Parts: sequence; structure tokens; C-alpha cells
Amino acid sequence: MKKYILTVLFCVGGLGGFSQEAVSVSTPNHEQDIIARFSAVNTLSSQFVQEKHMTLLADPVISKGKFSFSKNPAQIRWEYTEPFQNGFLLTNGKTFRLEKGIKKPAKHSFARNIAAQMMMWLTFDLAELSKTYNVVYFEGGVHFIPKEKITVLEKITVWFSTENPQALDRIRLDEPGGDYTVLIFQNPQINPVLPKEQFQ
Amino acid sequence: MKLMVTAHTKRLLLAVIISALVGSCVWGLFHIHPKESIQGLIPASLREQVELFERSPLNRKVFAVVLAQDEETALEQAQLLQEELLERNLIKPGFVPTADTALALVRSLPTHFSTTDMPLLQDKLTPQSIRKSMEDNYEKLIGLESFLVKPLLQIDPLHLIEIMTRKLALLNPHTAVRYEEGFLTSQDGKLRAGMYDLATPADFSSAQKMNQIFRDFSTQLPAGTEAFFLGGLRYTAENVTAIRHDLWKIGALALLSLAIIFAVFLRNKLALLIYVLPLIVTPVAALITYKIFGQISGITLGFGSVVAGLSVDYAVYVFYAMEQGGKKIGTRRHVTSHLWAAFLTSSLCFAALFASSIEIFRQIAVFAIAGLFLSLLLALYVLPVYWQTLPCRPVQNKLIFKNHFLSKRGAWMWIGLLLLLGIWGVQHTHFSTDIQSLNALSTVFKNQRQALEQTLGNQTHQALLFIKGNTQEDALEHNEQFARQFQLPLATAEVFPSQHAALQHKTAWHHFWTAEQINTTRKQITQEAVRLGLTPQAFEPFFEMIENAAHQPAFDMTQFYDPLVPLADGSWAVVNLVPDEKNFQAAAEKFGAIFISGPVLQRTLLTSIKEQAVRVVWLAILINLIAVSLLFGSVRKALVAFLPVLLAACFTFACFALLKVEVNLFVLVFLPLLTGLGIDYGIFQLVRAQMGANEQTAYTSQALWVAALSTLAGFGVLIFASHGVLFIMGLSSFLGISGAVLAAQFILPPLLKESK
Repeated sequence: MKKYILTVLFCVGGLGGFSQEAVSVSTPNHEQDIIARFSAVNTLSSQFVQEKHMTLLADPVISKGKFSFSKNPAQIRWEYTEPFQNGFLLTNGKTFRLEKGIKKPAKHSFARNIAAQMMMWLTFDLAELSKTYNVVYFEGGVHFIPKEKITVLEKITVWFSTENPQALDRIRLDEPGGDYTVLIFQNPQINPVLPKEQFQ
Repeated sequence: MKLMVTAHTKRLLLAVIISALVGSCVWGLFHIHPKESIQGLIPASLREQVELFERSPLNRKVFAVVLAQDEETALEQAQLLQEELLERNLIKPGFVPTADTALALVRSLPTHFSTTDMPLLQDKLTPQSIRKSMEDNYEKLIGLESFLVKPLLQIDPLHLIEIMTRKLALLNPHTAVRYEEGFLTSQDGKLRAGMYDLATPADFSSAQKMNQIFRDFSTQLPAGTEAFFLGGLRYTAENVTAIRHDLWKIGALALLSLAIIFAVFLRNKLALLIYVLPLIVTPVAALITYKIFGQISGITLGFGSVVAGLSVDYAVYVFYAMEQGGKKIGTRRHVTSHLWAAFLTSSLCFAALFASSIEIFRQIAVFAIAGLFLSLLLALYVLPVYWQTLPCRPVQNKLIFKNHFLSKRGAWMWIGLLLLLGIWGVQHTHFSTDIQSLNALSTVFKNQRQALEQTLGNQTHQALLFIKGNTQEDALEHNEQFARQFQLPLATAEVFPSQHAALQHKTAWHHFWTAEQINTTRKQITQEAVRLGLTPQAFEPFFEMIENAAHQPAFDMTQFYDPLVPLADGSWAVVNLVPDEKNFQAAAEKFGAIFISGPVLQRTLLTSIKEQAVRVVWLAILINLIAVSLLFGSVRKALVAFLPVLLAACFTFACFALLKVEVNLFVLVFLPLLTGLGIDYGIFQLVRAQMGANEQTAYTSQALWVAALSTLAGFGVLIFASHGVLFIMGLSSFLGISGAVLAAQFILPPLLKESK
């Protein structure tokens, strides 16, 4: 459960403008500051906009959705609302697909693997992430670069919100070959009371 | 004085020689590890089937089960247990499919593409189906998980992987079972079972290690949570543990019983030598057996108590004869004749076990004959050296020791009654044909197995089909030939094609994907891609895969399951899990394949053991009749000597029926044994009847009773064994010996009196 603790804390959206990327040295204080900032978040919910840039797509595709996170018990609901209604739900250690809001068991091991991968990225336990990624800090954000060269992702970059120290502004997932996805978080709510039904 | 010194020196020398012999045998025994194998317990006709099963991948499976009070704990502990077993190198890491696995499966499609797949492929190529697949692809590509699925969708936009997954699903016998997070899961989620391949040999050492890990792991479990393992390894652990425990218990109880007999009847410190005899005989007999067979079973060693009991018999007769009339030449001559006759009949009965192809029976035969021969030599030629100075003691004249308790008429009445009871007993005794009754399984184990079976469902309708070949390729080709010839579906034939079949599949794939077919499909896919906002070249990798089918790498399907097993003779077999149906069985017989199903195996086992038992019993009776007839020069006397055997058998089966004992197959080993013992008591009475009045007083009924009770002390204690095989042998022997001695003591004398 520990690995979920800081997970989606970084997914807390902020409406602030993009921070200027600048390579910066990481100091223990800086790292501790980030951990301290986000450790106070137990639940959160946010809307998101996803920009998909792929060579397979004639034009970038914009999707919208919302997500909710609970630290204890560890639960995530990630759901698109446009252009399709789908997503996934992790609850009680089990993975479900969401199709038009309806929960369906993720029977296929491939689907479960995808959900498990998603969970890993969304959970932001620095200790756990450091095992898989080299963590490089810069002013206003962090790069996560996979330690293994053979991977489906080349780099993950997160930007902290300038307005809300417990929130993230956006995440960019860079794939080998130039494809990338940007997730922009909007209207974050820190520690809201989440209805149980969201995860049921 | 010189004579005394010589006698003393002789006794000392004998003691030293025997001690050295026994000491070296005991030392040798400490270096022997009893080997338990189901192979030793079954007839040769079934050995091939059992060997095949033991070599099959299924035999190396182990289930690590966690039973908790809630779903989350069950999953968490099952994962921790998996880590522990992997860390201790007891299980092999399971195969975890990845995105690359899916890609490799799609690339393997041409080598697996059979004519049966044609309809499914054609369904995938209809305009409606292509449109649906492309819309689905688009939805996935714009989802968060696109970077994981993109390579697969590019190479397989029409979801042809389903053709491969359908084949793989046929391999899995547990498709109806809930399988989550890598564990077989009960409906309520409170039971999680990991199914693993053992990384170590499936022997007792691994079983002990596994036991220890589970014991340690269980101490760390939250309250109300239980962890255990099941599979062939657990059966080994249960059986060997039970036999080892039994050996100590039986040994201790046998010694205690013998001590009581000594205290009640013998009460002379020199008589203690009688009970030293088993300690001398048993290790020597065990070592001889081990040297002959290269191994020895715990069951054979458990039989040591029987040999101990029998060896005591000889010494008891000699002791009483020397105590009561040792100085009378006639008595000693009669005793010697009696003991050689007894040894001959007992040995012949055990020798009859060689007619059986069950190895344990053969081990028991060697063990018993060697032990009895050594006992005879010691009783006749060594122990008397120590008993030269025995004082004469008056025998007890209790009612039980009186020979003529019954009249001739009374004896015949008892014979009639026992025969009737015997017939009724045989008809009402419940013979268990369950092969499980040959195992020593604890209640805890049975409950745990039941819990897992409830989760997995009833798998008894499955059977194993082994199709053999000289080489791996040969076996695979035969496997395909079987499926083709009998039109019976074999998942292995679909998933593991021979090289020849793979070539045919590629050709079929190539013939299907004509230039026209490729162009039509490309046009449809491109149209749909453009309509959805995808680039026209998005799925070009799919067409590259189709056109380069001949060069696509074959995926190693054995990562999921390896159906090929090497056999002892250097050949190979493909292992199939098939429905337990008559058409498969008939086809297997016709094809020369081996079909193994639980019910069929049990029926064959029962038939084979019955045949062997009948053969052994008839052989034992026949050769003993001949031997006794020759010894006493009368067939009639030989028949009289057999009477205790017949009546004891009747008494035993009547008791089985009355006590509602579930008799397992090993009761059959007792029948020749009973024949040998019963004849001994009959011979005792025949020898006694031939003696003069003076000699008879020296050769007392008390000797017969002490001998019988000593044998019971050896045999009877097997009743306390927890192993089903030892228990039933103990119970049968206890009832049989009791019946035989009662018949010899009370029924035979009135009949012999008349005949004399």
C-alpha cells in the first residue's frame, strides 16, 4: 500500500501557466519538500484533458475525462467522458474496465497488465519509482527516465502547479519515435470526501 | 573345569561374532533411506501408465494455497508466499505474458494456421467486422494505454490474435475457473491458489523443505489465515512422514508387548535371549533385501515387526523344549523337525509372493525368508548353547492350555459355524478399490484438498492421453495423426505442430493470402483508417507480416506448457488432457496410445491385484500341501494341518464384515502369510500328536500360545499404524493369527486324536 501513497498526489491539477523547464540539481531538501507537500493528500479528484500526438493519427486528438484517487484504501477511478466513455477502476486489489460507466471485469491478462502499468505511473512513491526510473529534477517539475533502454516510454515529465503546491499541472509521456501524450489537470480538489459509489 | 571354560569361551565367541554381524548391519542400515514410490505398490501391468504420469508435467505441479477471512488478505499473503517460494528456489518463476508476447503470438499465426481456423479468419475479413475492429483500435489508440497496445494494433488491426488465444485456451483445463492476479481464486475470493512448476525433484527432500517453509510462513500469517500446499509432493510428504512415525511407534509397542509376554510366561533371564533374536535378525534381513533390490521401502521395514514375531516363535519352541525336556533326545529331534518344517512352509508361502509383479511383495518375500532362515539357525544352533543349564519348571495347567477342551462333535460344529460365518463375511466385507486408500492421508490434508477441489471444480472427468514416438518430432507427428485419424480434438496438436505440419500451415496461410485478398483487405482497412482520422499507412506492419509469413519467427509455446516428456527408454510422449470419454479410450487402444483415467486405472488395478492375489494364494496352498504331505507322508494329515488356515480366514472375514472395516487391496498380502502361519500351528499339533506321552509333556501347548502371542506382539501392533497399508496388514494378521491359534489349540486335537 505504501507505494500508492504519493501516487496521484502529483496528478493534482493546477490552473497555473506552464513552468519554464530548466535543468536543476536535486537536493535532499528539495526532494523532502516534495514528499512533505504531497504526503498530506489522502483523497483527490480532478478533471483532465488529454492531448494525443501520434504519427498514426492524422491530427492530434483531444480527450476529456475525470479521475478520483483514494490513498487508503488504494483506489483509482480513471474515466474518459469524451469522445468515448471508457476507463478503468482499481479497487480492492482488482482491476475492472469501465464501459460507458459500467464496471466490467478485466478478465484478459493483457488488460490487467495495462491497468497495473497505469497504477505504477499514477502512484508516485519516489522510493518505488527510483527503482525503475532515474529521477531528474528541474525548476517546477521532475523527469522520470526509464533505467532500462528497452521500454515503451522514453521519458515521463511532470510539472507542479504554481498555484497549488499540492497539485500537478500536467504530465507528458514521451514514447520512442516521437509520439507523446500530454495530460493537463483542471479543477483539482484536494482531500474531498469521495462517495464510496465511485469505487464500487 | 576345562569343559566349563570351553563352554564359556564358546558362548563368548558366539556373542562376539553375532554382535559384530549385527553391528555392521545396523551401521549399514543407518546409511539406507527408505524409498517410497507408488511404482513399488502397483502391479507391473500398470507400471508404464504410472511412470508416464509421474513423468508428465502435471506431476511436477504444486499448488500453494492461502485461505483467509477476506479477499485482500488472501491475495496479499498468496503474493508473499509466491515470493518466498521463488526466493528459496522451490518453484520456477511463472510465465507472465507481456505486450511482446502478444506480438510474438501474432507472428506465430502462419505456423499454426490450420484449415479449422479458416472460418474464423473469413469472419474477421467481412466489411462489418473490419469496421468494428478499426473503431475498436481507434478507441484504444487515443486512450491512455495507447503506447502499450500500439505495436500490437499495428501488426494485428483485425484481432487475428484471437485465433491463437482460442487454441491456447484449449490447453488450459481450468478455463472455467476464476483466475485473477496470477492465482486460481474461489468465488468469494478468500482462497487463492498459485499453480507452480517445481524447481526441484519431486522427492521427500523437497517435500520436507516445502513443509518447513509452510510451517515458518504459517507462523507469520494473520489470525484466521491458513497456508498449505497440495500436489504430488504433498502425498510424498504425508506418506513418508506417516511411515517413519509408524516405524517408531510400532517398534516401541512391539517391544512393550513382548516384555509383557516375558513377564507373564517366561520369567527367566536366559529367556531374554528369545527377544534378542528379532534385534539380530531384522537389520540383517533388511540389509540383504536392500542389497538385492538396490532400495527398500518403509512398508517392507514395517514388515520387520512381522519377521520379529515369527523369529521369536522358533526360539520359544526351543526354549520350552529345552526347559521341559531338553535332555531327551527324542524331544530335541522332534523340535528340530518341527522347526525345519515350519520354516519350510512359511518360506514357501512367502516365496509364493514372487509370483506377484508388485515389487513391495517381492521385497517382503526376500526380507521374510532371509529373516526366518537366520532365526531358524540361531534358534536351533546358537541359543541352545546358552540354555544348556536351564532348570526344569512345571508348566501352567490352565484351561486355555488344555488340548481336549472340545469333543469331536463339538469341533465339527465349530468348523461348520466358522465356515458359514466366513461365507457371510466374504459376501459382506467392503473392499475399497480407491487408490487413495493406499496413501496415509491426514484429516487436515483431506480437508485442505477438499477446499481446493471446491475452487477448481470437479476435474475427475478429465483423463490423460499419452502419444508416443521415437523422437520429439515423431511424437508430435503421431499426435497430429491421432487427431486427424479419429477426428478428435487435441489442443496440443493445434498449439504444438510438428515441423511437417508447420510447413503445411505456412503453405495454407500463403494460399489464403493471395495478392487479390491482400489488396482487398488493404483497401478496406485504409478506408476505415482515413474515416476515423488515422493515417493511411498506420497498419502497414500487418501487411508486411502477411507477406513475409515464411520468415516469421516461431513463438516458443512451451513457455505456457510443455507437452513433451522424455521416457525411460529414450523415446518421447506428448501428454494430452482429454475428456474421460469412451471414444478417446477406444481410439487410444486402436492407435496404441496410452489412456489414463482415474476410474479406468482403479478398475485395472483391482483386476490386476485380484488376479495376482489368487495366483499367489493358490500357489502358496499348492506348494505347501505338497511339502506337508511329503513331510508327514500323508495327504490327509496335510489337509488337517491346513484346517487352522481355512478357519482363520473365515474368522477374519467374518470380523471384517461385523466390524465394517473398509478393506484395501493390501489385505491380499496377508492371505499367503496367514497360510504360512496357520500351517505352522497345524504342524505343531501334528508333530505333537506323533510324540510319545513323555515327549508331549515337554512340548507343551503353552509353547504354542507364547509363540502365537509373540507373533501377535509383532503383527498386532501394526493395528496402531496410521498408514492404511500397514494398518490393514496388522488387522488382518491379528485376526488371522488369533483364529489360527484358537483353531489349532481347540479344534485340531479332537480330530487328531481320532485320526491317531
